[in-house]
Amino acid sequence: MPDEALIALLIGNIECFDDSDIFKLIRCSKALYVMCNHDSVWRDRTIARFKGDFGPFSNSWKNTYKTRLQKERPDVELVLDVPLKVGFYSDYLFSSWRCSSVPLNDLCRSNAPENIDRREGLTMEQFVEEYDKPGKPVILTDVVTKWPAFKKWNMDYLESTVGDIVFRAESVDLPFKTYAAYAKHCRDNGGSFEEAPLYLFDKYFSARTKLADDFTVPEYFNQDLFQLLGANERPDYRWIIIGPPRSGSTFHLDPNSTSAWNAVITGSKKWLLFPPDCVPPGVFPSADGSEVTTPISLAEWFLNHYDEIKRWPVKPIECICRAGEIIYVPRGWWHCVMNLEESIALTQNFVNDCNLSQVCLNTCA
Amino acid sequence: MVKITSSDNQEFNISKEIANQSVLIKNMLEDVGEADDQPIPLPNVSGAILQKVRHHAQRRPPAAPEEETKPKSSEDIEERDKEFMNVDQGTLFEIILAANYLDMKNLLDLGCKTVANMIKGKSVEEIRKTFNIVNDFTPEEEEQIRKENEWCEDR
Repeated sequence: MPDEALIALLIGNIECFDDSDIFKLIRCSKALYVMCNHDSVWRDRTIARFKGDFGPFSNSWKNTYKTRLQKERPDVELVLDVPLKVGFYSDYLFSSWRCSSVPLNDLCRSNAPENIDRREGLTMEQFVEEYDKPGKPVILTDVVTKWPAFKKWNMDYLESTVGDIVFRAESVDLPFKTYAAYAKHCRDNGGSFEEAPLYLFDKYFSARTKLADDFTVPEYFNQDLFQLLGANERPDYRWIIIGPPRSGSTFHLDPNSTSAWNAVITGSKKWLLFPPDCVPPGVFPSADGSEVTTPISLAEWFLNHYDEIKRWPVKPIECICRAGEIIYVPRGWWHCVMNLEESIALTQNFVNDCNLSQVCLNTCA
Repeated sequence: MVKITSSDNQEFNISKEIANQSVLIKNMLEDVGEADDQPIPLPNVSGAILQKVRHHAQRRPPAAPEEETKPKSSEDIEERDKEFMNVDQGTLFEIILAANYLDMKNLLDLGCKTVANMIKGKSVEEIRKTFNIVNDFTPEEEEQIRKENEWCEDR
């Protein structure tokens, strides 16, 4: 009889099985029920089958799948899942459960001392001399608060303005209102619904909506040589980022050796930044640094690797970027970000004099 | 040539090309370097299974790229692969576990697709019988789960 390790493996390759097969497996035994009914399986299935058209979000991915399926079978009665209490242990599921339920502030050490400069009223010269040239991260506290976005944007406002527009969330393009319903469900579950909630990260918003009217690129980051390449040639560069608590990005370097800014409109983000040439624990870049393998989720990284940092000679920069603040991430800095609350943010990559030579080397390679 | 030993101490000589089909072995070889003549121990795989795995690796054209983008379907198993996987269940599951341990994606897919094919078209009770799965639900639980899931199956 297939034991837990084997079932986990089969579930891991669950693309080999048709949806129909899985509905039958669920009914075979408690072990199979628990493994095959795991909601992350159904998140993948829902998106694979229905793409961005899976809405409206129900109270779980499985029930979202079923609700959407029933639309195609109006003659069949919709019966939603009511989870069974089943006594069952699995290493594989335990890890996932732990990552989704460890309280976020404990997981991310929200109380850890911060060691980043916070500045306001910075002149351009000061910024260039103290941060841009030396490649030192900084949080500016008086930029975002002046944006119309800071006053206007929240999930309700966005839903009413761009609810029907399609946005990108990881591998799926979906109407904003569908994402908003999902985000609300995450919120209502106190941020413990999923280990790695679906993250909206969209680079077309400035073409598809008027949202870009609500903010101005701060002058410090305004010299952007990629503009010279023209709209068609320049690499992807600006994103709107929306995510539930516990969503985030695992350690990475920004592509093409660009620098970046990340502005929090609502919510808050925990940041860890390692200086150039200091690869964080548990991260495995390819030889040329263009690809990064972090085989574990962000939550797992915090559980498994955060404490190692205490023993390292190079300490990362650690901070929480809050609503109304903007962080400057110089080229070459490894960083990971975890949303501590539902957060709406904007980010942009840029090339200026300071990182130009590095970018050219990179682009020619 | 590369030497590998199984959990039950059977030794196998395989070409570097074959060995590299296992990402696990490939990485070990890179770490250890050319000079070392020590056999690579594979304590998680028995000799009998290793033999099957080697057989599969030998049959694959060496330059076959990993077809990552091809959608997986349990229908597209080649005839000779079907024959290769025509083994008893215990062996099938051990091959799947070995393919996972050795990090051999192609073989792992083949194994999972084979299992998927064993499920297709069968009723829940037939699936249980095929895999010796014990129905450990109470009648009430079983009924609830049936109501929740049966209507979702393909017609």
